Amino acid sequence: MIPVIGLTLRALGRGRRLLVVGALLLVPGLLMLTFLGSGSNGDSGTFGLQLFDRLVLPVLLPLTALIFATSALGNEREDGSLPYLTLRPVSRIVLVWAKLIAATIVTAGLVVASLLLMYLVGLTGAWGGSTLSSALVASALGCFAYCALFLGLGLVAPRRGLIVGLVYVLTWEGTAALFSPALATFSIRRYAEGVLDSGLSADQVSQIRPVDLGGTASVVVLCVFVAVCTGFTTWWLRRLQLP
Amino acid sequence: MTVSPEAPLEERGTRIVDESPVVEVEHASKWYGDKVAVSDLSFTLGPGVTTLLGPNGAGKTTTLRMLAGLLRPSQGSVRVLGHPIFDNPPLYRHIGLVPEQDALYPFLTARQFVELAARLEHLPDPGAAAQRALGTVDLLDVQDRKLGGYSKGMRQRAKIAQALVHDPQVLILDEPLSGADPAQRLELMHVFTELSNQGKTVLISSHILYEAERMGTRVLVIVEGKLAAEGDYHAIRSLMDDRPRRVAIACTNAREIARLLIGLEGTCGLEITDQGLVVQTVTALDLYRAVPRAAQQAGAHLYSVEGLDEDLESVFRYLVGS
Repeated sequence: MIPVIGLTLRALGRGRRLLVVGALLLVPGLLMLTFLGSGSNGDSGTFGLQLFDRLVLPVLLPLTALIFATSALGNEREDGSLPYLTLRPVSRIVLVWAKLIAATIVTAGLVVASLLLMYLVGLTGAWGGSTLSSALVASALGCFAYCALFLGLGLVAPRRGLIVGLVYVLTWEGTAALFSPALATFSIRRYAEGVLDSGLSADQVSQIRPVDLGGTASVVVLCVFVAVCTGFTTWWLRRLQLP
Repeated sequence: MTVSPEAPLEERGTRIVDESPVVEVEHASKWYGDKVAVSDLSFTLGPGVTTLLGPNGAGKTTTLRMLAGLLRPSQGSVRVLGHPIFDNPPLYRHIGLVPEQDALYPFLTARQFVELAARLEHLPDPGAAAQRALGTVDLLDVQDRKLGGYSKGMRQRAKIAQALVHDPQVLILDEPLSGADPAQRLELMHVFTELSNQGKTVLISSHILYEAERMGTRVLVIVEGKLAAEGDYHAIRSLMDDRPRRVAIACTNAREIARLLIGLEGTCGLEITDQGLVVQTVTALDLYRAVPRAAQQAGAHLYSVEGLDEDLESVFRYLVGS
């Protein structure tokens, strides 16, 4: 597994993709800085929480995952180099998990860096340790779940995966699930928010949504979701033909 | 003989011998929607070099990809060492593939690329195995350069090294000599012959007859997705030599040259054209010798003498017809 993880990390860490996504992830820190510089009377902790809950979790995190996870298997399928991995005595599930771990490391690394930047810019005094840690765990688990979904998408539709994923992120995760609690039940962000809520006080939760979503159940749902996605991707990879 | 794909051949203390085929293809067809890529292929392969010959688009790559387990036959079966090859990762330790695609990992050096293959094969000393394989294809001097900066010939050799690194029983190579310079071609052909001498089963696709002649005596000829001929190279070559061939002669005074050539043994027909004449003959070599003499006797200028049926595709079509 480790050689495939190493290979994938090197593949994902090159080119302009990393720079573009890195620049995108500076946005929360810049918005935080702008908020502080504007002399607003609002609470920076609440602003930071809302920024994380409404921009990072539903939009920036899935976009980052989309860009890296669809490439993790999709690029090799597209350029014809996949046989160098699949024609080896390595089980398909090991290949899929190696790719997932690598995509998650890159995605979570960037998202966590963005979160820490936002924290250092203006939240060191406003967020307690449990708030920061729950935001970090929610980011990591969210990255894991989105990467599992988009890894499969990249394998199934290497050419159109990015577009399909973008439509999904912007219309479902970023819009529909934001306005309808019923639709949100079928979104990944709903459960990433649940993980976030587990580290917040009741007051903090009430500042960003009407109800606490429940941390443990959210973690379980995300883990089951990852298992289902990797199971599907493994099944697809086993039956994949490479003309 | 049926063998377990899990156990390395050496551990079983056996070696695949001639009487039991290493690769068995039975009535294998592959189609994509309405398009038939290969149809009803049946053949077996044992140790030694076999060349899969065919013009571009004949179905060579599809055949090789079915043999390597990258494609599942739409109909029929492909078995390697007695087992179905598709979706059978334990069996892949006995197979090495050099794909036709040029795609590699451009950010890796050749050493890293071949070591990666060795690690995925779970070899005990990946570094040493990679050095051996890179040495075999003469890439040791440039092994620490990134693949992205390699020439096509060097990339081909890197691909061959990754296929050899785990010393597979079956080696499948799709146009492995493309991009290699003449000296490298000779060297690689020597490598394939050596592997054959070690009892390996080597299947090489090519559209160049000369390569088949140099590498082995057994050929499979595939045309339009069907097996057109199978067997000893020399038998097929002699079949090709017996067919009538057309030779175009660009010259002045074509009528006089035609008169002199009509009586030549083996001449089947003559046609006067704008540029000169086209002669149909079963003894092309004799004709090539006679043409300059005839031009001299006729006091004509001779501009060119060119075989019109020497391309492989027309040779293959003749084989299908025969």
